Amino acid sequence: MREPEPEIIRRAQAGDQEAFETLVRGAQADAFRFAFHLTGDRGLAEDVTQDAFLRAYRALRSFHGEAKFSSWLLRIVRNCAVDAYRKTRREVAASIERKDPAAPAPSDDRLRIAEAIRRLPMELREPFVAIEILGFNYAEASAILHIKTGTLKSRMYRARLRLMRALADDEAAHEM
Amino acid sequence: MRCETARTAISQAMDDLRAVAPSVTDHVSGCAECRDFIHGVRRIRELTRFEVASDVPDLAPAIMAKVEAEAEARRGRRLRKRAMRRPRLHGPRRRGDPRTRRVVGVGLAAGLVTGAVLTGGGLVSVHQTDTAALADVIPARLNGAASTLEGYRATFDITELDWTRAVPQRTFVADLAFREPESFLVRVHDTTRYPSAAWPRNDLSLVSDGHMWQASGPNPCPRAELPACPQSQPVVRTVVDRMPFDASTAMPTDVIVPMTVLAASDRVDVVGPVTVGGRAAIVVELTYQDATPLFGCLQFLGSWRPYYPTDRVLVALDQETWLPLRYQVYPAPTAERLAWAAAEGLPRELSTAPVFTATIRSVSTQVPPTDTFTLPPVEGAVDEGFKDLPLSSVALVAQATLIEPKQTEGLPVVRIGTLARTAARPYQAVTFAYARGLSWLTITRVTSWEQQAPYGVGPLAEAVPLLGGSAVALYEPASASEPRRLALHTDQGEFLVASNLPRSDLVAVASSLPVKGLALPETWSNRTWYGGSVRAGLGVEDAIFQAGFDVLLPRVLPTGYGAAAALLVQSGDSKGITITYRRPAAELGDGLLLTESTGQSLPPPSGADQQVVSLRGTLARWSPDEGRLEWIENGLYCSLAGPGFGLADLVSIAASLRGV
Repeated sequence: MREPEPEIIRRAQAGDQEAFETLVRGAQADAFRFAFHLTGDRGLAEDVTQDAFLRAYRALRSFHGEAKFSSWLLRIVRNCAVDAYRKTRREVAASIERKDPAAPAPSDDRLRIAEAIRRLPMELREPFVAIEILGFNYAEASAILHIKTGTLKSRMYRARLRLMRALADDEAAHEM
Repeated sequence: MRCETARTAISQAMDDLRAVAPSVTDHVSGCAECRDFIHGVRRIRELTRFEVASDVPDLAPAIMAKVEAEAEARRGRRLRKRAMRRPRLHGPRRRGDPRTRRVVGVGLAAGLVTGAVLTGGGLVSVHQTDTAALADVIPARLNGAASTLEGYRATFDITELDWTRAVPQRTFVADLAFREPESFLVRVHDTTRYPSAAWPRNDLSLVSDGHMWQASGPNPCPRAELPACPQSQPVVRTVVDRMPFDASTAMPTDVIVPMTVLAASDRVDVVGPVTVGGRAAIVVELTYQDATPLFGCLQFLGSWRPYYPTDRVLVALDQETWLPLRYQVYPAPTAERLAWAAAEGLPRELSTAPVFTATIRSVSTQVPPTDTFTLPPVEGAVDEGFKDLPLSSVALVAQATLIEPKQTEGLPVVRIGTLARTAARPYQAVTFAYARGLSWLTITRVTSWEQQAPYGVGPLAEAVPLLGGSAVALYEPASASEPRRLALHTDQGEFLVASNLPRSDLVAVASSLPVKGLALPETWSNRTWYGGSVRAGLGVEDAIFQAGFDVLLPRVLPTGYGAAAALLVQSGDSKGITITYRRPAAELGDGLLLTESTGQSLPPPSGADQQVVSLRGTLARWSPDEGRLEWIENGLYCSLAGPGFGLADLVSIAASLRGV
């Protein structure tokens, strides 16, 4: 996510809706992708993203630039995702379980990695998405996720290990 | 060393972009499993960063609808508490009574046409002048026509193709009126026969008398959702106490005289002569991206078909009056355009047939009466807070504020006023507006300015010397949302000169102010933020010299483009430079942005339609949405962005990069 100009943030804080729309357009892709990876559900991710931007709009005056705007926003996305996930986890879990085990394996690497990420437990998925997919560093991811950097480093390692194994298993199954 | 310790260190080093300790390297050299781990984690990074991202829906319209509803509720609560005010001004002395002007016929095809011959622009006979000579004189002729146009009325017939598959052709009639200095009206009547009444009609209106501004019509609706589109309900946006020539509530007068691009260029691309409605005209060509101000009189609300930035727009200019008689959009003949059209759900469109045509039906330069532009007080209007001062106080206010230019390009003062300091606008401003015809100029002086950045321009503004040589100012060309601007930092406050006049005129006006533009304070140029520091305000050559690494520069640039400004960025051990290349008059597509930095990996992908292309002996990522090429070359991250350019253009520019 490319950081918005401070002037755009200031204008949005002053109530300039065009400036806020600029913020939305600049950040919506990462916000949606973060929400999508956290919830594992496209429709839910859309709701979460919209909810997060509305919360950000209401809270914009409380943003004083101590952290990056993107970190601040994604923390809101994460909170919204957690709320939504809690509300709907039964349905989501059920929809995952309903997936046909005989369905063909993902046909390309993109689908394989997406599926493997989706299967990561939340405690590993969150740091992986923030750091590897969205490109935040440890300090920024720590601010977004409220997790100490030492814990983040360890979880990143575990996430990578799991993904490698998942990809290897998937390829092996695909070759059989 | 245990394998897990080594792998944790490898994983961490990948994220920190640091080398691992020698002890880890030693372990890995003798451990096949750890080498497999390195191979595996690199593959995962490649898959997540070089492969395309998931498709991302455009949620902005839905989000903004919710935000707007919330803001509207807040505004309603606030505004109900105060009465509506509409200040009246004594207008400038008129140059003659419009009713006594000479009226002549301008015999266009369909309709009664009356109007005064414009004499300011003079005559250029297309039969006696070759196209190269015309290309050089047209900008000056357009400027002449603009500055002498006291009033204007016109009706355009519009045909738009391929809006949706169910409605392959739409037709409109647009009525326009203008009265100097800043009264403008456009009413768009949708005359399309829709399949059913469920389809939203694009009936639009925009009216302003300069002080008050109102746009009404249906909200834009994604084409895929038509005809059932809940957000396309009619909306009315009203602004009162509007700043003169405010860019955020602009009046799209380029359709009358295209000042933003054509009048400000050194030369224009002349296609040749043509006859429109019996009038001799000269056709000039520009890209859709550069021609967007021509469409501003339509696209302020409602739903319209999309165009590709490099689509060709042909504008037929009346040979005598220099007013546009017709403008048409032709699809660009490129493969990228075809792919874009397919993604947009457009049918196959030939590059030889126009997909949009606006043809003038009638035109008159008689001055419309003032009540043409009168608006009733409206509940829920946004108050911009500009308080007019009487024009009789010009001399006094000028003396007190130092807004005393010796040179205003012959434009008289039409409005002066102040913006008071508020919580949302923590500074005070005084603005003088000068105008004649469609030409305008504003000079704003800002005091109590607390931001550590110049007022009115961004960090990539170009430092330009003022006439006389001892003072400097920061210049930005016209963009899709702002006019040409020149900012001066002085010991008497911040000054901003904004105008639709050419750049040289802005420099002349700014040079004639009784203040001296100073270099920005060091604390303004060097900004520290969470991730590092940015150094702005450097000349391009200075920035390249101080970058601290070998900067690659293009040997090939599109016609008219030059290096305008640069930034240096330091983030941890990473050093970077960003150079902007743009045209001096107007840059409606953001120009070209070249970024290079050391010690940075390829950022994560940002869109679903990204592609990998071969470039400079390596692989580069192409993001069509952003018009951006990114690659790593000898440890240097390079990014070349040009949203208005195609992949082939950017590849040519990137291929020409060489060390200094």
